[in-house]
Amino acid sequence: MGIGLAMTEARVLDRRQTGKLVNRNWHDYKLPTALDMPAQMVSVPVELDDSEANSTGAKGLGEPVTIPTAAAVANAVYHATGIRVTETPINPQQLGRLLAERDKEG
Amino acid sequence: MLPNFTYVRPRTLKEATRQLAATGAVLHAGGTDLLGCLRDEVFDAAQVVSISGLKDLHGIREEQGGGLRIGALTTLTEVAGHPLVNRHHPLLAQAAREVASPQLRHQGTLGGNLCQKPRCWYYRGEFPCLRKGGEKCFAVGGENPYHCILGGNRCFIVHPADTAPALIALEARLRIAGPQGSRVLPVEEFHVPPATDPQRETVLEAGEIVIEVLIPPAAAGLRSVYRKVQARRSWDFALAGVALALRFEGDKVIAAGVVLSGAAPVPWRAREAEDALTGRVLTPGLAARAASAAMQDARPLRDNGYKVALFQGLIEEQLLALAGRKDSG
Repeated sequence: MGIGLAMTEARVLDRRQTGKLVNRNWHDYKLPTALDMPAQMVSVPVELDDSEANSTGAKGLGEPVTIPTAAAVANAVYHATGIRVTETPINPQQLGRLLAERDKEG
Repeated sequence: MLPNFTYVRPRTLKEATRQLAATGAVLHAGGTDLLGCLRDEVFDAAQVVSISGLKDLHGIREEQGGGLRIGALTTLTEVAGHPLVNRHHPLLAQAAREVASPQLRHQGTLGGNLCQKPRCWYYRGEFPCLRKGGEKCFAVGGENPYHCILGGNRCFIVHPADTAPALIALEARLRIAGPQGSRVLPVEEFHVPPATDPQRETVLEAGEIVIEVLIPPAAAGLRSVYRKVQARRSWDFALAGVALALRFEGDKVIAAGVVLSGAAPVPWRAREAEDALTGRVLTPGLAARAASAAMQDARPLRDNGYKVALFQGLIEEQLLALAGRKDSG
């Protein structure tokens, strides 16, 4: 989920004409596949008891891992290029555009 | 919603061509594209003619002299894994392997890959576009990151088949059966550009069925490759793809096939690149020049200009890879 939000998934609307959703199927709305999962990316849960929410100290782990993933990818891009990406998906098309803009500005 | 249709399963090819000639009849082979088209109401069907039981249209055979005959119902998995295809025409095996996902390759056929409908999201979506009989192509003023940069004319789809560029680079031909008998034509002449007719993708007439792909023997000095770039690593169509079939004599290229996928409404033969390569030693400088030549007529829309640079890099990279490789032919 996190990789998809960060790098491939986006709802595309026909903004200039009808306003309708154009990528309304699982081909055009690009969920990442198993092959898109980077081998070197791991999530490390911080295991602190939650004594406030319930009596067992348990915390949920599911959707929370989607929250930092896009930010982590954006930070990696910043580290590699010096460019701050503020929109998802962070894909080659967007990076190509941002790099070209930076090169133009010098 | 699926339309209400009758389903027939002819036992002979002759019967199939006759049933397919009826008004509103559509062909079913692997069905992977047909089902999506009917469900998304891209077109209607009164009768589905399934040829999946015609065993004669299935399988890969080597002819005397080394040419290959591949039945149209041969699955993409079989094409990708067949020893003869891999030995003589690795680009075709690579192209078949790059199609969609394992499940779709098990079910989808080589003939179906050549005959599939375009993937434009306006065509597939709820838009009355030119290709569906409407008045305009919505991609021109709309969201067009995946549309064509070459050969666009009123309609700006890209042709989705991975195997078609490979077969064109190999100068393969198709055998087509119809109610009036059969005919053979080069794969290169099979697809119809929108400049000719924006409402059809192939030259197939009512009742006609692609039954066989004929590939000439691998010539001496042939080296080939198919490489595809997609927005994710599996189950996707090409953002940019290139099929190369080059004949070498020493370091010199004596014949070149350069055919692009993801570039144009039909599999796109890059003649400028072929001309630039033919008769010359394939140096890094020539690879770069040929890649630029392939893109010299590119006319990107608003969102797909990245494809020009992508194609140039891809073609140059794959030419250099072939220059450093041994002959397979």
